[in-house]
Amino acid sequence: MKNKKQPIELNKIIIFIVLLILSIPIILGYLWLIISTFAEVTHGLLPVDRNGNFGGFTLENWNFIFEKEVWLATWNTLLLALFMTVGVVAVSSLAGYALSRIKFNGRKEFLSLTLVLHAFPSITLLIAIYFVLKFFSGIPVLKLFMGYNTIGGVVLVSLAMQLPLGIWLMKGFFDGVSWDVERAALIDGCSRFRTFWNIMFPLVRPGIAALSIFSFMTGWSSFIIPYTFLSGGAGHEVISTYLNSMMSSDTISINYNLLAAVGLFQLIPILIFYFFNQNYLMKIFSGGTHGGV
Amino acid sequence: MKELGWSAEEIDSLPQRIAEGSYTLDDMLETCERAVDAGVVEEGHGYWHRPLKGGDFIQFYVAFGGQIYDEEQDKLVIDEDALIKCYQFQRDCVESGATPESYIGTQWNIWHNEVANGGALFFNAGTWMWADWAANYVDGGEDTLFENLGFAYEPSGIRGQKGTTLSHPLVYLVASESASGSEDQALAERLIAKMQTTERNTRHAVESGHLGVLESQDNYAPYKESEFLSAASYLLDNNFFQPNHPMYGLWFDSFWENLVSVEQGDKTAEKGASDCIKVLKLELEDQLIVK
Amino acid sequence: MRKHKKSNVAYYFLLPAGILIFLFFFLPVILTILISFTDMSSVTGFSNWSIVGLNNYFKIFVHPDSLHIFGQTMIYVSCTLIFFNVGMGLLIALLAYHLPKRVGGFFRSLWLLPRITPAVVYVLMWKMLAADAPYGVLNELFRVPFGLPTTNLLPEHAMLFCILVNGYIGASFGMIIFSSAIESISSDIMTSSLVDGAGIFDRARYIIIPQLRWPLLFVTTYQTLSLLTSFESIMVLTDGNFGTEVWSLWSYHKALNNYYGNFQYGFGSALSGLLVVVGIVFAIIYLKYFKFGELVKEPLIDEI
Repeated sequence: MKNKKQPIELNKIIIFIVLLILSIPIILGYLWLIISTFAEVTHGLLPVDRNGNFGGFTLENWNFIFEKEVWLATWNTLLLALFMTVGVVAVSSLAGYALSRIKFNGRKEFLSLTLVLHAFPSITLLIAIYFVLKFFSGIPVLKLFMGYNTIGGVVLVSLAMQLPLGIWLMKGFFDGVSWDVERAALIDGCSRFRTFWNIMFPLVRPGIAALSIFSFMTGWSSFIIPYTFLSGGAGHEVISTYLNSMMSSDTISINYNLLAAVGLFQLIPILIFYFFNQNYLMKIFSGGTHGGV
Repeated sequence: MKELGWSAEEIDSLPQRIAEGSYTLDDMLETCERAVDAGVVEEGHGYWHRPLKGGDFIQFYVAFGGQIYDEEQDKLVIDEDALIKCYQFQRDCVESGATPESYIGTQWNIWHNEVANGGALFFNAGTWMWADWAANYVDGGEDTLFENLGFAYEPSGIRGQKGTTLSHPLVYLVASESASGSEDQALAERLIAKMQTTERNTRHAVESGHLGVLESQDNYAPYKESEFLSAASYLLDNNFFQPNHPMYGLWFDSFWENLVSVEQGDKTAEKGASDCIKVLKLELEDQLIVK
Repeated sequence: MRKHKKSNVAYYFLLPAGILIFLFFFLPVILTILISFTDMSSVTGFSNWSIVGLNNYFKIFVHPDSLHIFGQTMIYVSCTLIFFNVGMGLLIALLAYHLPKRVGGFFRSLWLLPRITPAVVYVLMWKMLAADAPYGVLNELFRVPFGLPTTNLLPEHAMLFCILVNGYIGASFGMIIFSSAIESISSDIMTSSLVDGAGIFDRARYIIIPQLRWPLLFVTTYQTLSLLTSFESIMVLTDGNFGTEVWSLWSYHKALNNYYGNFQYGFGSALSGLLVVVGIVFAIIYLKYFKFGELVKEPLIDEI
């Protein structure tokens, strides 16, 4: 027994070291981020003050919290994430329920369509979507909610892109609910919608939770959609585009430590969500559950 | 430059000689070579042009006699000869040791730090950087800058051709009602007019190191009092602009990509120029005149 | 008696999704193709354009940059896919499996971080890893102590960094799929093979990996498509400079985003139109070969 144990223990240590080495960029990256937010200047991973001496610990990078700009961007980001989440959950649940529980013409086709859309790279459609949004910009009332350069437009586009995953996910969760409760409700005379709203929807709470968390995180981190469809500048930014414009400025000196602080500012809610919901997220990231939790 | 053996006279007269065209880009590279050989300047620190993509680079094309825009026909122009010479100059910078081969992509922070503190013998910068350097990069502010740095036109590539500089004025446009859906055009115009005063423009100019845009600023006291701005204003006598042609972006993109390839040694100047012209012909079609 | 009437109420449930899918999937696909047949651009504006048929596609064919950009795209997709999305994903899953649960779980969580980090922040980290001394992490840690010259690593090794940046995100997808696949291999086989004298490397090679054939194929196909069409992190990292302009980024630059604001909608749509076609073909292949068995089970409850 003793001889067998030793090689296995040695193997495990080797494996651990190999994994650690492979993970170095990730570790270094996050270390840099956290250290830099609290230092005046960072040389590599070393916090220093302006003259290059070790130390330079400061909270001045976080002063941006006291200015308005970042809060405008944060507000937009919050709106985007919230509306997107509510929208995705609502639309996906309705569609998922119908696909899971109702017999109708075209059910097979719609299901296949959902799968095809799930695999289709919607990012290739950005140019055409620009034209769709511009079309709405021409319509008097709608243009405030759906037009180009509105948060509403960005919400709708982001929402639509999440649908294939969301519908598939919710359908899977509905598939996992037993038929009996529903059968009873329908026999008692409930309409489909009441059955859905009062009985089925509450039963898929884990699915709703998982989808909500995932959608919120996606919305909060959004970059390319707001970048393309919002023109930037105060009031038309989300945190990602705000940070990006600071990173690529030609005329204003780039302060890497300030960038790190803003970056961490955006990252913190994500990390909080992540650490409390790892199980859900792992499942969603693998492409949707195969029915049930 | 003093260390290199230039007398104070020669240094002071340099801007003048550049303006006249008696000190050319090739002369500049020669000076760099001598400086590096003499150990006065580190290798690769002879000439630091702009490290990232930007309109400044067309100055070299114009310096070799290149034309960009034909006003009469409202078309863009590409001059093959000037283009080849321009690209070759970029490559020469590297080959003569004045500029490192992997120079393009240097970060702004590092670039500013080096140049503002005299780390490069010659450099290509914008007036707006002066204010930035005085505030953020150099101990002693403007005084140190005046002591150590000088400025002049961009030297020409052709002996006898005057030095020149690129200006980049921006224009405010008010979108029409049909374009923007807004009916506040008059309000926007009034707002712009209110902002375009001598006082406000001067304040912007002095604080940020940009040259003034209104002629009235020339006679305005705070503007005149700014030592740097008054000294630099003469540069506006021989400047040019990037053309206001809708396809200019395509012209520049192709120009730039091949410039980088040539400077980094991936293509010869001739190949870079011919590739550039091929793409321009394809993308600009009838909006291009090839010389 | 069971009625077999098919329901109409389902359509109401599907309406919101249907509208959104129509507006932001179907319509854009059609628009992409239609616009690619025009010469719409910043020059023509939205009212003076004309139909030019296949001219844009012809332009792509003769464009001097097309071949180079296509080549760079192929390099980017294949290297990221092979070395990271599949390679690293498999490696991490295998390695983590052999460690105690908590340690393995720690590494899996660590490798998921790049995926959940907002793109701009994540690329910022990489930019700082590659940056020149004294700010750059890699230069400061590995070159300065040895007196080696330092440079900004990004312009010199631009494509490598694009592959690294995307690879570290992509590896997590494969990692999760392979991990759950490995865990679903019967533990009897896993332990008995060790008892029979196989080392862990042999077990990995002869037992685990063969069981992963379908997940491997799935990850490869799925990720090829997403690598082919995504460009977000490349755009933030290098903006296509230094030879990293991939096809999808080229299309985006041409039509929606470039230095001087010259937008070529027709040409850009043609470029992305090709990607759309590739995307549809791949998606259908994916559907045919990876259809999960249970999909189309008829619901047990009819309308009453």
